[in-house]
Amino acid sequence: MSTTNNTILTPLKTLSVKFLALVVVLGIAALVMLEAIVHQLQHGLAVTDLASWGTQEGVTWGIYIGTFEWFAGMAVGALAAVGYIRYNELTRYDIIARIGELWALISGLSAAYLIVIDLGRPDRVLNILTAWFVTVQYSPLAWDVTFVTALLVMTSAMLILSLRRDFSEMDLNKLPVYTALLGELLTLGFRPEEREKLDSMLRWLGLALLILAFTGGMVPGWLLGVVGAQAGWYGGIAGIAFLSAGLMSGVAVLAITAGVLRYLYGMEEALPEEVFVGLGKALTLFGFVYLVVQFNNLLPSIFPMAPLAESRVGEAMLYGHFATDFWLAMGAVAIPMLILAVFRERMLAGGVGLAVVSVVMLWGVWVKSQLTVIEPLMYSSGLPYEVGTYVPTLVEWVITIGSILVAILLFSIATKLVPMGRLLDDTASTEEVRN
Amino acid sequence: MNASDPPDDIDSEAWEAWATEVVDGTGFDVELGVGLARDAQRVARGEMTEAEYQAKYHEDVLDEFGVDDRPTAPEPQKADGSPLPGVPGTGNGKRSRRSMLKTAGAIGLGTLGLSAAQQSTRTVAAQSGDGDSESDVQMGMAINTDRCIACLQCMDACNEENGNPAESLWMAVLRYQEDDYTDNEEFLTRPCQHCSDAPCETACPTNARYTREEDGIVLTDYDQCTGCRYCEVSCPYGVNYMEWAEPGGGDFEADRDVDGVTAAGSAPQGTMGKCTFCAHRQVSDDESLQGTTACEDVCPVDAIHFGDMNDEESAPRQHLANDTGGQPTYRLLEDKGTEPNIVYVGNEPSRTATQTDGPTGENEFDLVRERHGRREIEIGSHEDDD
Repeated sequence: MSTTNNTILTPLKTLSVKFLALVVVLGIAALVMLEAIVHQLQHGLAVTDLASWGTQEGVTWGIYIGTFEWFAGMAVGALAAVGYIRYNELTRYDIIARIGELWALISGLSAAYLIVIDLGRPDRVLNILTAWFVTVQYSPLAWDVTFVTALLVMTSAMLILSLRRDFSEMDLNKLPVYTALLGELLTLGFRPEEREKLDSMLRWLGLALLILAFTGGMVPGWLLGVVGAQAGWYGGIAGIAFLSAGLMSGVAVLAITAGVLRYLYGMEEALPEEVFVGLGKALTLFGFVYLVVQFNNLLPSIFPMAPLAESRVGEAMLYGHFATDFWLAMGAVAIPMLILAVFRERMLAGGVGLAVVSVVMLWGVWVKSQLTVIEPLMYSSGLPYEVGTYVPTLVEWVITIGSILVAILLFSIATKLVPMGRLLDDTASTEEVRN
Repeated sequence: MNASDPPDDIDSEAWEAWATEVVDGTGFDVELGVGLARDAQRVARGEMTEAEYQAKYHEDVLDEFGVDDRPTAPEPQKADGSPLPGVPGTGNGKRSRRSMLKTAGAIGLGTLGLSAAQQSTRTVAAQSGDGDSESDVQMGMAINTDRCIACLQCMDACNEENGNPAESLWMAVLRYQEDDYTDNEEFLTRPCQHCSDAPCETACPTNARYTREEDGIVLTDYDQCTGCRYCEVSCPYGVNYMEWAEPGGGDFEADRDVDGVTAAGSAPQGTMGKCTFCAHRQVSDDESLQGTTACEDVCPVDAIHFGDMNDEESAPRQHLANDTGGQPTYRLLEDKGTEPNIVYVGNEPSRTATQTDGPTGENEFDLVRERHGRREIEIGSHEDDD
């Protein structure tokens, strides 16, 4: 353990012109998105290219839902990473856990927000909650609401409790005034004897997060997997396929963030190379698992014994209409995964290389998420309908990309509000930490 | 003694002993349980009416279980008399057999001692034709696609009746060809199948999609629907039509209210619509409209027959019994397990059937879809998408 990691406070204590410029640019993006949302609220979903499958020859769920699946997966992955680090008390990865807590919260909120955007009557979203007590018995969408709520509540609890511990170890007077205020609020009534209890709570809450990620975390996958009417969605592997995508994208977003923070703020001591080696190993493994599961999901559909409807979907993906997108997406995961496996040491030095391959992998998962949602609706089965078309409109692109940029904006602001980890220098608390 | 093997005579001591032993094991009121079981047998034998049976034990069942969830029990109501919110298939607070099964756990004794007897009660009632239970009516259609000439008048009449825009085809006639080395063109007349086990209801996160208990019609509560479209993806028939924009169709002149629920006519913007079996006609004060639909009325070749599928005398049952002309009958995508209530007469489209071009009346009826930003799609046009 390094004797000092004061650099974790650098993001808090600095406010560069570059950062302000970034906030302004992302803020403008948010405003443009707001305009698109107002436009959609005024004219309804008619401003999208969504259309009913069947005689309208369209897809009824498009990039809003595809991106929802992507964000939900990221939240699950970040949740699992936080749980693993906290449960095993991997002190060196403390910053990664904090980044994960923030990302799980932000991506969970982004996922929920995209669902609301996708509703025909977003003003009635509360109907889902008022009907919940009955619908939770059978409606997968009600299960999903339950899961996302549990994710947000448990992540918030983890964030608040871990911040309470971290703030308790800091001299609040040395922090910017707003962070100090937050610190005082979160350490209200803190007594040193509480530390042991707090450590124990973080550890067991970590286990709870892990369990939630690997059980309820499959629900967004089941949202599609239980739909018997859509070949290509229905099947026993839907939850696993979603989880594997989530674990990979969750670790990828942590790796990107850690790499960028280290690069921008010179946090070499707080984010030592071993952390990136660990993240890189995890990403290699999860990338491999992701590919295995995706092809396991897809390949049976193109064998001669497969039902016709499923083979149409599988063929369109593997060598039909969507082949270019599909293989680009798979390549975007496979090639970085191979590079990571072969050139690990060179790739991971400094964290920048890892951040770059993580961006590529995240993009691949995003594309595949879209294909998973759109394709079965386009190649509908059962009745003699035409193959559908879908070209997202400008409004859809602005809102979707906007949701990603706003997530980045939220995280950027968070780096100026909360410490990225605990302070492990030679203060009085160090001894306690070691115990 | 085996619980599945009761003595025949319900007045005998042996029966009393058997019933007491079974009920005793449940921990519930023995006297009530035995009484319920004995009288249920009487109902099954026709010695007692269901209404008498319900009335006799209603108070005691409520006392013992806190709930009387038997299928024909008096309807539970809120203090103000309005129906309680329900689960799918319950017709807005009314119960279906499915919801009864869901809550059966709360009244375990009822299912233990009585379900078999009650099942036979229903059968007796159905056989004797005096089905006073509302759930005995199941509206449906017999559609003879062998007679269909694809004139599309049903589609036009449907949109006019319900005030739908041109692209929302609650009734659609699909024109297709089988890959069987013939040039035979066939037609599939496709309204909502009004399934008894409707996946759209299970999917709905707000209980907006429900089965009307009186006649088994599947409807959408337009005031509840959030427009999430999960019903649409879960339906294997593609009968749901979201109103993406303000519906630009004609005016819907009838009352949208169906038993206090806004469920008839075209769907408002942002909500999901589909064939309602002209629900506004079924609840109309005008008796000549009840039991009819716009598509049935207008069909020039008498291919569509609408009525109670449980009534042997109804139009669809009569058609199936006497007028199929030796053609096969089938239910659409029956393997999906949705229990559709439309029976087709004619050839079932195979999974490899493809839509065909052809002279259609869509231009005459203005049944083309135009939406800003999306290409125009003509019904029956065959465009190569890939």
